[in-house]
Amino acid sequence: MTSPLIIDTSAHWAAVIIYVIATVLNAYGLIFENEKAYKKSYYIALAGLLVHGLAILYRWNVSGHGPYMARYEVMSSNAWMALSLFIVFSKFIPKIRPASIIVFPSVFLMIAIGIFFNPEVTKLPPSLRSIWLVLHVSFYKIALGSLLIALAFSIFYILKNRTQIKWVRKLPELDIIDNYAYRFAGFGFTFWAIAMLAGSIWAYESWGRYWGWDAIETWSLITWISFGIYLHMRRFFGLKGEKASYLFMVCFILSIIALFFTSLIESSVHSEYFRS
Amino acid sequence: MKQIKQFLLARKTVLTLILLILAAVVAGYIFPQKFTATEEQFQKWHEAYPFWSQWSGRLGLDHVFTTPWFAALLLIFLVTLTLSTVDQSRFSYRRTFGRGTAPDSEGTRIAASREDIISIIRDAGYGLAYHDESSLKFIRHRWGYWGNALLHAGMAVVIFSSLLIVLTEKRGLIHIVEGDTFLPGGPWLLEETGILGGRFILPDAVRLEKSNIEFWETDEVKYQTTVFSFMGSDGKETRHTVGINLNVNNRGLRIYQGRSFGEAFYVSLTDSAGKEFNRVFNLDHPVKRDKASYGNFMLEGIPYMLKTKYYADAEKRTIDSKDPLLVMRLVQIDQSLGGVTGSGEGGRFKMDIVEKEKVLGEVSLKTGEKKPFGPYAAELVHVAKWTSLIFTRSIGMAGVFAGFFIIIIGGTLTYFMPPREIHAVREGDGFNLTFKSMKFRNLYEDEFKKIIGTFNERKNR
Repeated sequence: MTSPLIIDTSAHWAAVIIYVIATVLNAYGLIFENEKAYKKSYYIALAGLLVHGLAILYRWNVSGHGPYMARYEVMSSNAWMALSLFIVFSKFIPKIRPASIIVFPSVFLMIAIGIFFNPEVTKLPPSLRSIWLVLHVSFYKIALGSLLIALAFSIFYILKNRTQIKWVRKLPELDIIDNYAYRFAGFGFTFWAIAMLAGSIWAYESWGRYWGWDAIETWSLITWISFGIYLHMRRFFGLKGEKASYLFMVCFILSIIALFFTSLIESSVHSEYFRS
Repeated sequence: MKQIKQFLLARKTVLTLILLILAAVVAGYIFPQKFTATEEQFQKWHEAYPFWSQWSGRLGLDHVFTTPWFAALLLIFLVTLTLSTVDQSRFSYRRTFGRGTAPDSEGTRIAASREDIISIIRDAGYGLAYHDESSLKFIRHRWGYWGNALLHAGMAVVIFSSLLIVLTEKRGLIHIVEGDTFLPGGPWLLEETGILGGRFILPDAVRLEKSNIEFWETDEVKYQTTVFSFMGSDGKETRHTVGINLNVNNRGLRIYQGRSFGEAFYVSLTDSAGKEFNRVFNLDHPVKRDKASYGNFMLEGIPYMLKTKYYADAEKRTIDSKDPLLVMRLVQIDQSLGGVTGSGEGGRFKMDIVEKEKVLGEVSLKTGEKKPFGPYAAELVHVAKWTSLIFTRSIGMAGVFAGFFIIIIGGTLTYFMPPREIHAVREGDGFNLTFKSMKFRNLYEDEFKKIIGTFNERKNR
């Protein structure tokens, strides 16, 4: 392991530790209704975001390319994007803030899992030198962030509906939670579409095909259609509440398979580059 | 006609169609597809799943996306989407520009002048969409009403354009050696044409001028470009450079840099009677400087197989093929029947062919070298680079991207800008204000309460 890698992974571990502290404080603040601890958790998470962001920038500088090659850097940047997106959304929509109890731990888990993959820097293949690739990858990260928030609200709905947990009772009304889950799923659906569009333009520019039906493309489409079904059911069939939450969770699992697992198990133009 | 329309627009029909399309895509993932799986993968799968193998062939599950039933499914979905887009556009138009109706719910009575109503509600981000003597209608994000219509229109455009591409696209791949010419009508290494596409014939001959590959110090490819010329029948030549993410447009053709490349070895074999056999072996470029690239060839007139490999550099110091080393092995293959297994009555027989290889000679050659090679003398006359070029001609691609773009606008309007209405109906010396939201009403009720609060504040001042 060379020294830039030690700096890189150490900075990532530092971010993980800060996020863990933020998560513990956040859960403590929310569960025991300690406003001070709850607020502090956000400041600590912001500090973690800064350290984490610097680690990503450092690696970017060392590798000469963005975080879209090795699984390690992909997971790290996904985590960073999810948390940034959540903080921006929660600034404008304060009611979604309790979702931090799901988002914060997801973030440090994503980085920690990423660290266990090979962190070696890989060279950028020529076909990946395209602005469309940057947009393609970025929008999948943004979509994942939105879906993570929707997941938090789907879980909240079930918890609030089924349990008498004290902190859960403090969450917004059930129909509001339900609508947030619906809306953030809609955001995720839209961002997913943008990511697929950017990917298809990139593929067309590189190989003259906008769609190749490779395993990862197919899974991405399966996920998008599934979210389409979820939204369609909500819009036209009045699906809501717990049933909608469970359907969303199925779609979310599909999205996780599409984003993280298909490239590990399948041979495709994507996995050729992203497997490491 | 009306019944057909009703059936096509029925929620259950639409949901069924989406589920069927999803099932088809999942089937396309589970069953190996002819155009993505290799022959070997395909064979393995068929041997492993004989039951599914029959259905795969019968229902076209081995080429789902080019089957007539999948095209029919898309066509029905396209009609549904088009009808739905028309209906939703009418609805959106009425909502955006019409008077609309105030919601039935009881409103909030405000004692304010018409001017104050307009000013305060406008300040809250609502636009005056309709007004007459007795009523005012304000909308925030009025274009949000078009979200669903655009979402559906975008999908219709993507499906229509995709069908157009599938029907008319022409695509050809060649491997070409520096200095060689590919003639119009020449055999493609791979050719794909749509049902209505016809044979793909280039308008002019193509000559490869130069293939340039740059490598990283890790031996991975850094960049790849190719210089080629179109040679018209009138003798006019036009030179182009194509590279990864740098394609060329020429008279309706798009030319792409293919990913495979390597070296072409010009080998001459001379037998004891002095008869010469000249052949060119195209071998893929090795992936590492210390790793070889392999290829097996049968030569016309020679009853043996040639097993070849080459290193990019004879000393294995560099990945650039400036001094490559070609290693050839002359192999005699004897085939015999190893055995037959299986049962009669509807069962399957399996024949095992046993191959025995006998090496007759082996030789390592650098450019210009001539050495004995079994019963022959082998000479590596010349080495040149080869590369791959992809030629396509298609219509509808712009439609696919435009459709995607429309989907995104539709999605953005639907989920980011849900429209909200405030209706102000005159009641005595004031107005009755009511709030309406097509989606996520409970997320925006605070917005309305805030506006009412502003009126109350002004009244109390």
